[in-house]
Amino acid sequence: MVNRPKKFYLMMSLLLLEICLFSLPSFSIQKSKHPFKIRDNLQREVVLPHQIKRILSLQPEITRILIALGQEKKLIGIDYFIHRYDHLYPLLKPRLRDLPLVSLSSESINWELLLRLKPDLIFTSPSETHLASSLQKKTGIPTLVLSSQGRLTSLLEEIKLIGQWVNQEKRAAYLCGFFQDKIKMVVSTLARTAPLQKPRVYLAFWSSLTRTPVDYEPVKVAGGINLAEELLPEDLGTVGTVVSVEKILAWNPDIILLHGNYLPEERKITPALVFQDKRLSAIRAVKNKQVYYTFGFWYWWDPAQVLVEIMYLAKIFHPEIFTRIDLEKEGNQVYQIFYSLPHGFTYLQQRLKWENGWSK
Amino acid sequence: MKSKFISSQRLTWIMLLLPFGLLLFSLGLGPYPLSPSDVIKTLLSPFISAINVPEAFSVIIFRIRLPRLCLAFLVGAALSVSGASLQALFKNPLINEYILGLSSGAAFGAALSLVFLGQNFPPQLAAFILAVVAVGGVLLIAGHSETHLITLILTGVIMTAFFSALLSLVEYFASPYALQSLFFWLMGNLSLATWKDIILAGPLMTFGIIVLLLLRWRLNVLSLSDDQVKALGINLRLEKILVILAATLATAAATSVVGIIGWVGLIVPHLVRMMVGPDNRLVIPLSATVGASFLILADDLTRNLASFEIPIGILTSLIGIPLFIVLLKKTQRVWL
Repeated sequence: MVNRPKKFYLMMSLLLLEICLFSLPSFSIQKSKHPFKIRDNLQREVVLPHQIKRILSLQPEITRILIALGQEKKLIGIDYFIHRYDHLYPLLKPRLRDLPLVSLSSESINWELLLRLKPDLIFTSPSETHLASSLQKKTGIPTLVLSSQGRLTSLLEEIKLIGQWVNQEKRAAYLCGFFQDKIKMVVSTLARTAPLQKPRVYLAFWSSLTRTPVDYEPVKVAGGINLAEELLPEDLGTVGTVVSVEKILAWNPDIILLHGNYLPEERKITPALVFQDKRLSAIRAVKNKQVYYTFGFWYWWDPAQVLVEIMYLAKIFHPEIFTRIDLEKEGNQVYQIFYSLPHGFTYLQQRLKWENGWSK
Repeated sequence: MKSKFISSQRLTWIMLLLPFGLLLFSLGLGPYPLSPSDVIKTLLSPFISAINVPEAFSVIIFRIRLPRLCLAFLVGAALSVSGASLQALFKNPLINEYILGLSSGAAFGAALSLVFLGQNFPPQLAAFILAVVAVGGVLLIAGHSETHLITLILTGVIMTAFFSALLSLVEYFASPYALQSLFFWLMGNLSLATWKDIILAGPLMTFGIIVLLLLRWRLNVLSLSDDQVKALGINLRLEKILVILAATLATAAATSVVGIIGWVGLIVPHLVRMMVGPDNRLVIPLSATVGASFLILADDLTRNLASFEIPIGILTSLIGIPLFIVLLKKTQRVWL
């Protein structure tokens, strides 16, 4: 009897979370009345061409979505981030037909090559605030600033919108449905379990112990509490901030998650380093050896990766509830569905070589 | 050479003791709530076995705040003394501690480490080596003409430009995530200070500061014209190289552990001169203590002003420049 109200509130809050995730319209992408006009992430009104056959994506998240929609043939060039840092690029390279490299950094574009490629539409990221206007002004080619900006609703809306533009509505709907089903599985499992003890989580991102995202939805969906959520981002338009080691001690998190998308040789923060750091010895997560890698942002999101991440985090946060999830099997299924890579997740694990392994 | 400013002995003593008082006071400030009695108990706990404090208190005081404040003390002193000495040596009030290409060399070193070299080559070591290489390059290029101060300054400007270009090149090829780490380092930061930083860089900073403190008498002489100095039988070249090397050692060691903290070496010596006059016998030691106090105060603000940590390099500029303007307006003169 005593637990009933708590359970009720817990279920209501999880229900609310579910409603927020799947029902609310995206705040970042707004379609205008004209069917070929769209207001992008920077509130620029862009008129889209009637037929989109040649796409240049300088935004890795969009490139990944286009590949997931089976539209890699529409891609006519590739950006530096996918080329150099995307973990699946070696596997996807044959399908991308040695596309020419159009950018060498986020703002360094090979303009003449770009013009020669004659794209119908260009995608850029909102983090490069002036690039889109400059591209559109100089080339006359419609340039759209589009990104999920770390919101799951926006990611799904992005998949649906791009699906419409490239005439792949069914495929987009299938991917979104698959994505939502997996998340519903996590959310409803958590809702059935009460009282739920939500772990308090600190995320050390972007190669630093003290840099953390103030908004990270996978933690919330997987039944955890991001301790930095009360903070404001350091810069407008981003989700990161910097806290002190003292603040981490004051929070005393149950779990510490480290940005694990970096290759082993590029990592500055590892679980071993966290355990060795005597300043952190009094923290509960360190005492209980609850320090793990997580994928984190990798030029916004890879839709397949973030989905696997939610299941992975759910297993870490609530191991007793999600014992049945076989992460390797689930992960490979996700990569097969999104990218037709049946061993994509196994490949990713081998590439990232997380020292403390995967929560199985 | 008794100046009318020196008569204010009380002010001198206050400035000398200020950083020690501030350091103790600052131990009680921070996002982790600790009362003054908690701080005192924690400080006494290693010596009195009857006092028991939670493990977190000991970690906060002995592993976070104390190393951070000690590092702020040393870095503030090192940058200010180096700036004061170089201003006296070059007889130029616009000189700062980074004039001989040190900051751009250090930045390039840190960039190489953060972007390409990874964990095998820490940014602190790379920054220190490249900072020393940059100043060494300036001395080598200037050759025997290093007695001509303008040649040295110009070579420093060239070296700064050269290493800035190399830094841009590294930035050009860096991933956006590596760039974030680099920008964070470039803005100057005390938040990750550990005893290891103090053990590694502290002796070098202390050695540089002591050499400059010992040379403070000579700096008054070096402020005279070259002919007058030579007439006094002083080996001008040796003295100048000694000052430059000591300032380089102190600044490079400081920069390697905290990144580039601007304006300290320019503003603090001027503040001190405005208060006690141009006598380097007083300016050099007081620059050390006022610089240490300035950086401890700036660090207190970075830790307590907002929910996130503002890089200290930004705050030193934001506080230092208006303070400098106010004092300049008040005194209507720059001492050298």
